[in-house]
Amino acid sequence: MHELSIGQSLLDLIAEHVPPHRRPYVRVVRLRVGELSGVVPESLEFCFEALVAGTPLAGARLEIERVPIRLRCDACRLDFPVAAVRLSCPSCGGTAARTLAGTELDLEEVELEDRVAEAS
Amino acid sequence: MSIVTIERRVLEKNDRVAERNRSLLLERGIFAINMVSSPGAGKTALLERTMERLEDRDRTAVIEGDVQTDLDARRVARYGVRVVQVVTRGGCHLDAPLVARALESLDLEGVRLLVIENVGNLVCPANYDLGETLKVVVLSTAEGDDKPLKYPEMFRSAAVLVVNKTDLLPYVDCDMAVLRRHALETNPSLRVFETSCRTGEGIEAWCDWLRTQSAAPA
Repeated sequence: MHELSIGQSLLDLIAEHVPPHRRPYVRVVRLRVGELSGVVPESLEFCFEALVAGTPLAGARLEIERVPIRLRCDACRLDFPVAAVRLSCPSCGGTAARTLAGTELDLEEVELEDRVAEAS
Repeated sequence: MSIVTIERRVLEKNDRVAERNRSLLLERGIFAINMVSSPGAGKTALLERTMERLEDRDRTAVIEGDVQTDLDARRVARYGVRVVQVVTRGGCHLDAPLVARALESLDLEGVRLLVIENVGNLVCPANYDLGETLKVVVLSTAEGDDKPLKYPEMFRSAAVLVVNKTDLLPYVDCDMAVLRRHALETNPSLRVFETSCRTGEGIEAWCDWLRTQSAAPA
């Protein structure tokens, strides 16, 4: 459900950046999705396919890069990765930390076929 | 192949509208909470117990988000607060444009406290900033003490956790100490309240906190 509305926001964002005549030539859409973003990549891929079916973007494939969670300890300023969100700083044991990475839900780029890029 | 670099947040449109909501609320000195929980955790009951106790009901506004029906809005309207119902018609969360429209339809004159009751769902609302001052997660004891670990996005993005239905503790598999530990491991800065809307236990402490927050100059 929620991936469907995120998929729609994604299509709106692509439409802002890729003019209509180039959309049929989009091959790959690259996204960065943080482990802490609450978005299920498989579900987003499924929704993306359903949303682009029958549109000029029908040939496009979604490529999702998962971004691991990284935190910065408030006490000793160490940057460290965590597997799950249960956190404590590996250096000083501090339990208060801010999130540096892992909440991303970013559209990085789209890849298009060459000949169209030259023509436009 | 050619590349069009975009590097934008997928939900940037929502976030832009959320920032507009936030400035509007800040200008008017309104303290706004976004209440989230799973369905049936007791958001509306907590709101009812809260409205019974708050003196400044005429300075309180409520935005009720539901998938269908205006049942919750009617429950809350009985307390004389300004209420607007937002029906998402299947949508699993409120987003910033929905809240912006709701704010337009509310008379905000003199309002100090705005409660946005989100759609019951512990996943999706975590992604959508509404422009609130802070997020309050309501979790009922019957849901178990492992929920903060299972829904870290939500618990990490919230400032307050209200553990509701404490009257059920003798009957359910929920250890309050374990629940607190899991919640604070996920988010050490969480402020935790324990309430029972049945017995009234803990409601006053929660209301006191709300009074302090909505009285403070924004």
